[in-house]
This record gives sequence, structure tokens and C-alpha cells, in this order.
Amino acid sequence: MQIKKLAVTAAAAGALALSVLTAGPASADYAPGTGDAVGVGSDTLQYLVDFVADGNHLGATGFNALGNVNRLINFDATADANARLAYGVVGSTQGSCSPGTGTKTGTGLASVFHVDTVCQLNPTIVLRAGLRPVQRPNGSGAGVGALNNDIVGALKNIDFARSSAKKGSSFTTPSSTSRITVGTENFVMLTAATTHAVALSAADIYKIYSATTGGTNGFGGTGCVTWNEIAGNSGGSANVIVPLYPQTASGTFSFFASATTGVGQVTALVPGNCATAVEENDPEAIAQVTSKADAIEPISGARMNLFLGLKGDGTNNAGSSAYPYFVDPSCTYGSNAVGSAGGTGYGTTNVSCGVGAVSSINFPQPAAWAPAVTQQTGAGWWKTTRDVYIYFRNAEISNHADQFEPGINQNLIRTLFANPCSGTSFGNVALLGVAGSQGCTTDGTNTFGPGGAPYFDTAAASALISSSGFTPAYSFLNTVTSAD
Amino acid sequence: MKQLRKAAIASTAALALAGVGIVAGVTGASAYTGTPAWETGNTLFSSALNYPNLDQNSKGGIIFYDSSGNVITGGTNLSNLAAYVSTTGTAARTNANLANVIFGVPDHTKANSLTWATFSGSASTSFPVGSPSNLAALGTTVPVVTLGSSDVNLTNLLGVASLDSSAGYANVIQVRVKDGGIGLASTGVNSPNYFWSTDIEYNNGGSALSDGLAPGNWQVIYPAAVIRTTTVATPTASPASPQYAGTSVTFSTSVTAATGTNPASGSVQFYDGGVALGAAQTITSAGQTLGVTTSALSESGAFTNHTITAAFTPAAFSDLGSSTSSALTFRVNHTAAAATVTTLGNITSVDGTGTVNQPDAFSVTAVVTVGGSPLTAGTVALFDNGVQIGLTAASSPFTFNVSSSSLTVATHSNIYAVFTPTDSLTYQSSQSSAASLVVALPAYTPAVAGIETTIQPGTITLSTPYSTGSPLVLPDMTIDSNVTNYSTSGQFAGISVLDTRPGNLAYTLSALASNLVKQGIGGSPSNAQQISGENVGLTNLLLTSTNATPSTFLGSLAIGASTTGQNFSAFDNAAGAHLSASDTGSAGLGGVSGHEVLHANSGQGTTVIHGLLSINAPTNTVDGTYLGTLTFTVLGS
Repeated sequence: MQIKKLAVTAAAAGALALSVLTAGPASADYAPGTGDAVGVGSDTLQYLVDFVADGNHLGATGFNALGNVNRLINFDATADANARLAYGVVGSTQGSCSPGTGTKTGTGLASVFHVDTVCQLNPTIVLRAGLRPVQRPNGSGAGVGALNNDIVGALKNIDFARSSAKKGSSFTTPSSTSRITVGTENFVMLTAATTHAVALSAADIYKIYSATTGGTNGFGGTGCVTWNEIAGNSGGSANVIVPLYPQTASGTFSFFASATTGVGQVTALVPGNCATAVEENDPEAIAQVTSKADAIEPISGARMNLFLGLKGDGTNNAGSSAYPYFVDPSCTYGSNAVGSAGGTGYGTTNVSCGVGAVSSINFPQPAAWAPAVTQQTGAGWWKTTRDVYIYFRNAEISNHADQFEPGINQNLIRTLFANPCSGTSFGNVALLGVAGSQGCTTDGTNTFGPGGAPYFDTAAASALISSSGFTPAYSFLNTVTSAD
Repeated sequence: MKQLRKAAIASTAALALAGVGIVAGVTGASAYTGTPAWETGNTLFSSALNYPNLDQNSKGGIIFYDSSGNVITGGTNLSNLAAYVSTTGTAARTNANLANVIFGVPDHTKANSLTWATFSGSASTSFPVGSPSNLAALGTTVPVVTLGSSDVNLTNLLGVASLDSSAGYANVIQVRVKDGGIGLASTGVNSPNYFWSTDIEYNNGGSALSDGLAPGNWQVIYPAAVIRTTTVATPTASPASPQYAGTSVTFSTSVTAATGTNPASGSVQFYDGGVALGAAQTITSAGQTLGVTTSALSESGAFTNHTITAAFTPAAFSDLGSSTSSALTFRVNHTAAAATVTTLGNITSVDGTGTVNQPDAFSVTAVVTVGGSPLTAGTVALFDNGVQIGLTAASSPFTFNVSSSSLTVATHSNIYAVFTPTDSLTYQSSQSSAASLVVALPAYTPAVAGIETTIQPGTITLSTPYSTGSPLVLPDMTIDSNVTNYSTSGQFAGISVLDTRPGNLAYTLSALASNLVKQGIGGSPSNAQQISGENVGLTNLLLTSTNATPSTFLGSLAIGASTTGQNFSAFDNAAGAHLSASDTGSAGLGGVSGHEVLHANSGQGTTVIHGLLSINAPTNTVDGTYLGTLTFTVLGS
């Protein structure tokens, strides 16, 4: 969820007027109540969970539109609803960062600038009404880390963490957590539509990203890799390849690194200074490079679908139409949000801030325009698929001290994430894994505790997950190990 | 996560919560007896908007459908209530083209149904739908939600819902269709979600609820489902009426609905006089013709009329009402009478000469068979070209000995016999083929002697031994102990009827009494000097008769009784009870018209009637000797 004023969210505005606001200090944005389900973490699947919670931009409603008292609150990885990373006064270039910005911890009390890799803003959030602002966890690693601290400290401000990679080893006690898989997506390399790129294997990618300006690169050359150093491309461009990578704290990076670190490499991928860190899953990073034709970036297929208005299966997300999710953020509210009478609100014209304006990267309707970026899925290109996950406390599955929603005898975890016919149900009844006993039911594939499938495994959520660009894929792992 | 309150722990059945009123799940329990309480505007909260009307937050009702698009008013599967739902009432808004189904868990302590707990029922689906065609026709103004096999799963909800168990709320869930608001991304317009709602009653217990809802079933209760009236066509018969018993007859009908699609489910049962005829016929397509065939319609006597009707019973939970057709009258006639064959044997001369000379007699025997077997129950008449010439032979053998005296001397080529069966329902009459008889000239010229006699018409003569000069003198009148009545009585012997009419005809004998008048007064008598003829009575009649025809006399009959079977019938006429001489009635033998005394069906001969003559008088009658007349008249038929 994006922190917004109560009156403005996607698709479920009506019920908000009646939800209970907990008492607390004045806050500009919605602060979760004590009974809400709160999650942080990955950028990759933040829209997946946003849609499941609040519905999508197409009119489908999510969990919070049911109108119950307690809500599913999803803090995005970025403070920006377009998933752009915010930077401090120095901007995104490496160099000296003002106190509190950048990747170094503990600089907030300094009186001078400090040297840092990138001066990210470090936006803050209020996890629960009544708490003070804390750093917004940006990415799978940060989210899992925050959940882990919450578990270790027994704070219960964070109920779940999103992750685009397996992060079981990041928990102090992995077995204290459970995990569900909620979707799967393509994970491919993105280039500009007009590019010098040729097909790159995993090994090629490893070498390109590892290269440093002063060292010998994996192709036998010195410094950053050029296109014509790629095997079989000696006649290609002599330009330097511009490798962009998601920030190392992100699950996307962990996944990317492990996926491209092959048998031949001794160590897991560590980006050299030929590569530039960007916000993960941001296709606009390509456009920000001076030599766009030389930029490459691993990209979330789901994120690309969201830009293009496609579902997880690649088809249009609104019948015969495709409604991209993002619009040009430089346009003021009212200048591009509303379509003409009967229009889509996005149109097919490349007009900045007019009716139908789209994101500046210009992702128009697929049928009419050639996109400015290309997902490289052709022969020879490294490509893969990846699952995305949600981690939560294992013990909460059978903790029935409180109902999640008054009037419904089900706790938070079983309502939202996992409701196995094991552990105990409300009333501390032991569930024995048999449909028809103790209220357990089956949908023919899975056996659930009383109440049936948790919300993330329902048809409602599957449709929302698909509209977020992912392919819905649900599975439940009761006890996480360091390998999970 | 911290909660500020604890929830009550409930069993997984989630039904047996303590509370006032009927607890759901108890055998025979049903807390629903009419409109759910919150639909009448929360009688607990009279300040609620739209009190006491429909749930203030709902935009209308919803309708459930099966996978074929037929309206259902309930069902048998709590795990998947329906294949589609649509809404009634407020139209959907332009651009609000997605909707989903959620459940509302009633809580009578909360005036605002928006504050009730809710549970997800289905994914959002867009409308209009493409099929079924009737739902596609609802277009964009009516949210239609397509449901998957696990959507609208009441079983899952009941596994975790903390249900209100108070009377009026137990066993009831509110099903809602909720739209996504006006499509924000396409229009940018913010609007609250609409929801439409219908309350359903469910039974997830082991026995029927008090209103009969079976275990595992659910039904719409509010707003009540609209039931479409149906009409069963008057059955037609093929072949048409009338038919002989044993004929195979097919009765057909079809069922139509007043509105919407004709029934494509349910069954039709035919009835014959209210008794089921054949098995119930299942309807499998709209407008289908249903029929039963029978060859077993009963028949007695000459024919029997059957009243054929057909009744439609709708499928469970359909939105169709039951109906019964008007009646078809179908007549079944007795089985066709069997054909008989009459065969005339040879005509022979009685005298054995081989020639029938006028007026010799001839003999012939008719034989009647049916199916080759002899039939003897009936009569046979012999004819000569249409003229009967022989007495009907009333029993087998059907042999005729007929004189030829009435036949002309000629060849009579059309002599035949006609058989008339006793049981004409079972056997047909038949006529033999023609036989030929030659009547020859008399062997010798006959002499014809004429003979003549006359019977006079006769008459009926009445006589009695009593005259005004020599009347029947009855004993002096005596007064009764109540001092209300003088009375006397004596034997009347009698009246004699001589009937010499031939033909043993009937007659009726009547009597009329005059007032008795005191003798020896001058001038007109006063009432006190008269005794009304109504006070005269003639009873206890006895008669003797010389009529030789079977003579039956069963004694007196009441006036107006049937005299059939009795040769003579006598009628008592009791004396009136001391009526005044001025009375104008016709009691006793008084009045102005004769009173029937005797009826004879066959009166020939002499019949003498005796009886008891009684006279009453009021006590104001003065003393003296009173004289009157009793006039007998006879009317012959």
C-alpha cells in the first residue's frame, strides 16, 4: 500500500470512511491500527500485495473492500507509488551524501556530508499508529531483516515480509517463520529498443557485471566490457556495455546474482564499478543512461506487464484493452488522470500531461507503437522464471488469542496467508489434515482449516495477482530452513 | 500485533453460541419466521435511515442462477451456492463494470450493516457476461457475477463465522454483490461501492428446520423470490374421445410460464379422476410435450366418462409455481359388441309332404353363433321381406312352426331370421341370409267361416245401504276428559263398487262429507248448530273383492304414496280435531273436494269397503240430532 490520505486509494474508497481510526499523534498518511496486518519488503511484488489488499486500477476489489474492521496494509519498498527510488539533495550520483541519506547507517546525527555509494533518501514510515517514523524497508533483504528484528524483539509491529528471493538464511531462527509462494514471473534482461546488445549467456552476464575499470575483465580485455568483446560479436559495437543492477539489498539482486553465478565462478556475483546500481525493476533506468543503446538491466517480467497493461499470462488486462498502471509522474493531478468520455485515461497519443498521457518512458498500447525498451527473450539470451514469497511468523498460524476480524473466528495468518489443516484452529482444536474433520475442507487440490483457502489463495486474489503482472502460484511451506 | 479485546471462543461448528432465542442447529429449529429483523429497519434503532424499511445500505436485491441461467430460489450445495448472481433494484452505474460477491454476517446489535463482519465470496468479474443469453441481455445496468465452483462458499464461511443466534437472525446470512465503484483508472472518478443484498436461510445441521428446509440446503428469504405462475394446457387425447375400452390412448400436455422461459425442468403428473395416471413425466426442455399412454381406462356399463387432468410440479428451488390443468373429459365406451351369426336352416313342411300348400305350416330353425360357438341368450324373430311372420322364439332352439295362411301363394325369396341378444352390450344383433319359401296353391279350396262377438264397454256402479232416509246412526257423542271435544264412531258397512268395464282398468274412489246440521231448527243453522264435515273421518278400511287378477292389498297407504304393485290401495282419512263449522279447510273428509279413499289398479269385479266412521265436534256444539251426508264418487281411467 502506498501511504495516502484516506480519501485517495485505488478502487476501494467507499469503505474507508467507516474504518476505525486508532488514536495517535497526527500523521499525514494512514498509520496502521493495532489490529491491521502490516507488511514490508520487496519492490518486486509490492504491487501484487497492493492489489490483493486494495484491488487494482481496473475496478476489481481486494481484501480491504470487504469492509471489515482490520485491514491488510502493505508498505511499498519505495515512497513513490511509481516505485522510483528517492534520493537526497545530491541526487543519484555517487559522492558525498547529506546526513541521514545514503547507504551508510548512523549518519543521521552527523553535521557534515559523508562519502557514500549513492545518496538514497531513506524515506521513513510509521508502522503503527502511535509509533515514531522508522526507515522504510526497501527490498526483500531489508524487509526480511525488519521482520526478523520484529520477531527477535517480539514487537509484532510487522506481520509479514515480501521477498523476491529465498531469504530463510536471513532469519536468526529460520524455523520461527513460514513462507508462502504467491506468484511466479519471467525474469529477463531488458535493453533499449534500439540497442547494441547481442544475446548474452549467464556467464557473459557474470563477467560483464563483475568487471572493474582498472582490472582484467572476464573476456580477456581490460576495464569495462565492450560489445565486440562478446564471443561471436567481434564485428559489433565498440561501445562500453552499461550494466545496471538492482540495489544489493534487494531480493532481485540476490536472485540475479545467484542465477548468473554458474559452476565456473568461484564466488557469487559482486558488481564491479563498471556496473551501476539502480532501483530494482525500473525500466526507466535504461532511459536515464546517456548511451541507452548500451544499457542492460535485469527486469521483473511482472513489472513490465504492469507498465504495459498486461496480465501475468501476457494478455491484455481489461478484455480487449490494456490499461498500463503508471502515468507520467511529472503531470499534476487532474491533467492526465482522467480520460475523455468513455476513454481509457491513457489513450494512444504521446502527449505529455494531456489527456491520455502515459509514463515518460512511453509505454503506449502495444498494438500501436514500438516500445522504447525490449525484454530480451530470444535464442541465446539468459532468461529464467522466479517465484515470489511472503514470510511470516510460524507461531501465528496456531495463535488464536485474537480474531483478525471481529465476527469471524479466524486469526490473521489463516485469514490472509495460510490456513492448513494442521496446527490448531480457533478454539484450539487440533487439525489433523483430514478434510471433513474438525471443519477442514478441500478444494480438490489442497486441504484447508475451517474457513477454506486463505485470501491469498482464493480466486479473488488470483485474479488480482494476475492483473499485477504475475502468474498466480500458491504453495505453503510450514517451517522455513536456511535453504528456504 | 495487539488486539484490545478477546473474541469468544467458539466451536468449529460455530453455531451453538449462547444467546437469547432459537439456537441454530437444534433439531427443527428455525429462527426465520418472516422478514429478517434488520430488513425492517432495526427495530432496536428507530433512528436508522429508512426505518423501518429495507437495509438502509443496500441498493436492492439479488437473484441466483444455475449454470444454464435458470433462476434458482435456493439449492442443495452450501459449498457453491450458484453459478451466477445478478441484482435487482438500483441500476449499476456507467463504468462500474466489475462486481464480486461477499457475505455479510448479521449482527443485530449493530444498526449499520456496513459494520457487520464480512467474508469473501468470489473474485471480481466484469459484466455484462457473454452467456447465458438471458444474463447477457441484462447488459451493463445489472451487475452479473460469474462464480467458480468454489465461489460463494457458505461452508467455508460457516466454518469460521461467529453467527448471531438470536431469534430472527439465526440460520440467516446476507449475500451481497458489491461493485468496484466507478472504474477509477478509466474515469478518475471516486465513488463509494454499491452493494445489493439478499438474505438467505441455510441449514448446515443434520435435520430439517422448522420451516422444512432440509439439511445442506439454502433458500432465499428476503426479498422473497419472485415465483412465476405457470399454466398446464388442458390435456389432449389421441385418439380422441370416445374410444372403446382397451384402446391405447395417449394424453398430452405442455407447461408454459406467464413470464420468461417456459419450464425446462420439473415434472408433470396426469390424473384420471384424481388418481395418478402413469408415472410422473420429467421435463427436460422448455415447451416440451409430455404424455402418458394407457389402454387401461376403466369402463362399466355402456360407457364411462373419465376426467383427465395434468399437474405440474416445479423442480426444487426453481422460480416456477405449480399448477393444474383444466379437465379433459374422455369417454370410454364398452367394448364393441361381438358379431353374431344367425343361420336359418332348411324350411320344411310340417306335414312332411315337402311342399307347403297354403295354409300348411312350415318349420324352420335358426341357429345363432358367436365366434363359432352357439349363443342362446336372446330371441329370434322370423320375417318375410320385413313383415314378421312368426312369434319371437324366446329361447333356444329357435324353431318356428308357422302357418302359411297369412302368406301369399308365391315364391317368398326373402325369408330371414333376426337375432336380438339379451346382452346387447356384448353381442350384436344379426340377421340371417335370405331363404326362399315357395307357398303353393292350397291343395283343396278352403272354406272360411266368419266369427264375431262383442264386449260391452261396461260401467262402474256404486251402492251403499245408507240413505238420508235411513242413515248410518252412530252412538251419541261423548265429551272427553279435557272438555275439549265431542266424539263418536261406528262401523261403516259400507260402500260397494261394481266395475264391469272390460280391460281390468283402474279407478279411484273418493268421499266428501257435508256438514252435519242439527235437525228441527227453524231457519239457517248457526255454527254451534253444525258439525263441520272436516270432523268426519273414515279409517281402518277393509275390503273384499271378486277380482281374479292377482289381488294385492297391503292395507292403507298414506295419501300420495305409490300404489304401484298393489291391486287395491286404501287411504285412511282421519277426522279433523273438533274444527269449527266455519272452518274453510279440508281436514278429514270435509272441504270442497273429495278425498281419496280407494285406488284400484285393476278394478274389475265387485269390491266392498268397510271402515270405521268417526265424528268429532267442538264442545260449543249445541245438543241435538245432527244429520249429514257422505258422498262417494268414482273416477275411472
